[in-house]
Amino acid sequence: MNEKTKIQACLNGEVDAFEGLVETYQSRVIALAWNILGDPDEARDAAQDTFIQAYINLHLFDMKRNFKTWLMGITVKRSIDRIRRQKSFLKFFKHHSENMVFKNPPTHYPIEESEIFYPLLKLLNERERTALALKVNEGYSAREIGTVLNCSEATARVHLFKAKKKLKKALSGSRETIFGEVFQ
Amino acid sequence: MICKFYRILFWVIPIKRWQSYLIESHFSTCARCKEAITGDKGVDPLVISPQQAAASASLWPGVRKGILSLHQPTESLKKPLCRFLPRWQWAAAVVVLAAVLLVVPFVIANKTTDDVPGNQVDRPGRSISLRSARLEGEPAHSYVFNSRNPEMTMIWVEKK
Repeated sequence: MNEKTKIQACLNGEVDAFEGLVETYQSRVIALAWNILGDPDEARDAAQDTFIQAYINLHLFDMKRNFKTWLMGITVKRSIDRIRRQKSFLKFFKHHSENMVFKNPPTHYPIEESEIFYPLLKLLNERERTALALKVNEGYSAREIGTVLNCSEATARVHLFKAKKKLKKALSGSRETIFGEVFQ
Repeated sequence: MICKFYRILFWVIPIKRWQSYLIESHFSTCARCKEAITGDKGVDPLVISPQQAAASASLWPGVRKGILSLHQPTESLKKPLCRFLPRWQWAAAVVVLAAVLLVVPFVIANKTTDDVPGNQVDRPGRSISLRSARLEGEPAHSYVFNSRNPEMTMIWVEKK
């Protein structure tokens, strides 16, 4: 059963036909969410949300398009939504936590406090992390990255550029400006 | 040389859109700068790969559960109401409704007889009003308080 047949079967109400699609793409979806969110558990939750959303909206999927790219787009949206929720929670928490006494301190912290998160990727914003992950893991072109991020090809290239240069600068420990390294 | 010129332009106007435009326009012409980005493999190990993510267990059980939980409420809404109630419950519901319909007219009728005029025991039989009042030869404010007791009325007069 190929991909299109599986999608068609899902559209006909066969829930179990979706299993094949989940098995095929789950590691890629988790990896992308992990790169954006920086936490493996959060990434798994985001990936699960992504597949559920994909199933619900499967009727909106254009069969002429690439399913993986469509799925990656949903992954990015769900992951960025999670970051926003984390940020608003952090804001709320900081505002109200002054007079609070926790018997059991919260174990889950937003992305800024996560110890698991790769410290260098933390230098990038979520769009830059997404662009880089799609480039490195999927070998996506700037145009495909643009499709996933819902931006132009040029903007995707800029995200990619900034991501790589920030990381390169951090790796080399150079005090020079990011842009200055290229225009030397 | 041209790279330096772009670098100056980049720093002179620190607006993100402008900087993005500069990067993009310069890369379309400068092969060396383009190579600096596209040929960069140094950052690849920092990115979490699908192989690393593949080590975790399958998502399918959770996804299936989520999908089925979304489906259940819609299915139950589609079921006709008569399927939920057995026949004896329908009969009981009809009896209760009939009883309510029989009792309501009596209640309404009793309430209307209570409201018939003429039964005004509690109401004052008369009322007093003052046209004007004077205190020490000067015009004054006057207030009349009619109590519920028809035998008692209070009058208050005060200087203006």
